[in-house]
Amino acid sequence: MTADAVFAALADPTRREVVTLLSADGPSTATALAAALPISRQAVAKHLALLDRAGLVARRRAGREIRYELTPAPMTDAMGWMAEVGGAWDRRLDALRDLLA
Amino acid sequence: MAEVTRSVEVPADVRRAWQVISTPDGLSRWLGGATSIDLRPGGGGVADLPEGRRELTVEEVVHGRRLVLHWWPEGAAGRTPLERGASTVELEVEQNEQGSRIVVTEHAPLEGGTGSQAPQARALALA
Repeated sequence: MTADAVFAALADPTRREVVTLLSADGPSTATALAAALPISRQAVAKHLALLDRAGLVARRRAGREIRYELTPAPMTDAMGWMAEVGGAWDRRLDALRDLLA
Repeated sequence: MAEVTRSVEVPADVRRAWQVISTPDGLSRWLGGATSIDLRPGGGGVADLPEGRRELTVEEVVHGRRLVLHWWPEGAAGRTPLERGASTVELEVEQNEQGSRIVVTEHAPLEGGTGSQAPQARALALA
């Protein structure tokens, strides 16, 4: 669950659509997601596995079904990384500019 | 894929800019803490930053133009920079009309690091 994995996971438009559906409609099965998308259940399952590895979804067993739930904290962490590291470089480059002025 | 890029333009010439961004003395002054660096591929170093101490290893040097290094929190577990959750920093200097332009890009740690960034989310989800 690194910032890099999160961005790689979200780089695919279909995965972004899966994230949007889970966000809007709540936890869902792979079958239900496939019904809402122009791709097969197998393809949805692959996307869900990748989102799972990036820490963006969690699997929950509900009876005989597996439901996928959005766990968006890694997205916040990824944004946090960018803000923090960007801020650190802003400070360093200000100092660099002063040195070379 | 996750990365930040910043740049700065300075009235100094490329040679001076390169010196400041690639030598221990120069780096110490603008990174904000004592920094050592062995400026060749595989060379090591330490940066005592306000953000914490980091170990580093040099990936690539194109003298006068480009420096790529990996850095990670000092003492992180792992045998390789990847395992230690290292991020990669690229520093480039180029000449322009006013003097020099320095561009830095830091790439977020890749998957495979033991120093992870968001273990809490997964732990909570599995609870």
